[in-house]
Amino acid sequence: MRLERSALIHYLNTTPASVSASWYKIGKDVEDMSVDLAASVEKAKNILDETSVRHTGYEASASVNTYYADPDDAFYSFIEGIALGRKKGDDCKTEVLEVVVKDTEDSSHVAYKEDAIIEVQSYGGPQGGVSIPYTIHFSGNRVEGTVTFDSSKKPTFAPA
Amino acid sequence: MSEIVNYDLTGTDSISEAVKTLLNSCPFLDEGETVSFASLQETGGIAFYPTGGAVVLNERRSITDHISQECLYNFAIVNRSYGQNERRKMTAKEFTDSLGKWLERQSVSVGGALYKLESYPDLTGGREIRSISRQSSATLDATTEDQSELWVINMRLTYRNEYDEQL
Repeated sequence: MRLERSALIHYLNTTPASVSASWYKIGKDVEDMSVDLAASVEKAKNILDETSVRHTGYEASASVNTYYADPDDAFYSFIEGIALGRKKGDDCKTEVLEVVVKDTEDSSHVAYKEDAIIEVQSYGGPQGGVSIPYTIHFSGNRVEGTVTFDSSKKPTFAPA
Repeated sequence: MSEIVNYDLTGTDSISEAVKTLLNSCPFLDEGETVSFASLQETGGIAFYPTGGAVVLNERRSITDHISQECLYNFAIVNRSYGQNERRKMTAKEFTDSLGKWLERQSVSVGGALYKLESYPDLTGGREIRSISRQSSATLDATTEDQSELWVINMRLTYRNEYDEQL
């Protein structure tokens, strides 16, 4: 049976400097979000008309086009620091957690954790809220594992 | 084919209660005067009547199954008063218009004093009032057999309702 879109969940660690991660669930006001893999693929044809393909990796990113600033949000202070504090480099570094919930009855779910850099696109926007769209750049150190959820639906990642 | 209309049934009760509380907090009501819900005394008074319930104008679903609805609650404020001389008609009309303007959070001058509604009341269950606006100026809707007059102003209230379909 086809998975609902809500079966693929992305989280960002809002406390990257801490020992334990605080995972913020992305997507409250987002109707559409995809991870663009931007695969590096090189093709070459030899004199025998044979085509060889070299797949050398990915430069994955995901654009979150709708985020409305909410000081009650765990993610707000992190992104405010980047946008208004003009933070750069390692100050924009955190972790992204991807979880696939194939069956809500399962006790654990497939998950991947990876380092990420947050790039804020802009802030402000039209009336109705303070819009801060941003891009998540996956920056390596990808770890496969599983996630379990507690009673308040907070995820805990365990590497495989 | 007729258009399907979705209603926020739980919201209707919450909004009605909030509107009643808000109207009764109006600072230029006469002392002891109250605004009732859908019930006018024969001797006079002020009441408000919802016209149609809370309707969902549009709904958006996020990738996390978070639902955001823009909803509409229309209501009419009815001011029953007596006396047909021109001065009393103007007083009833001006009062009703002032009440509508006050609900719009505009500054209103009544009896030489300025009044302004600072904020809308909180609602239950993830709902938030976005705006209240007049759809008309106060008009004389009817004159009853006992010569009481019903001055009516139509109001439009929009609010946002947000909830998670699944946690």
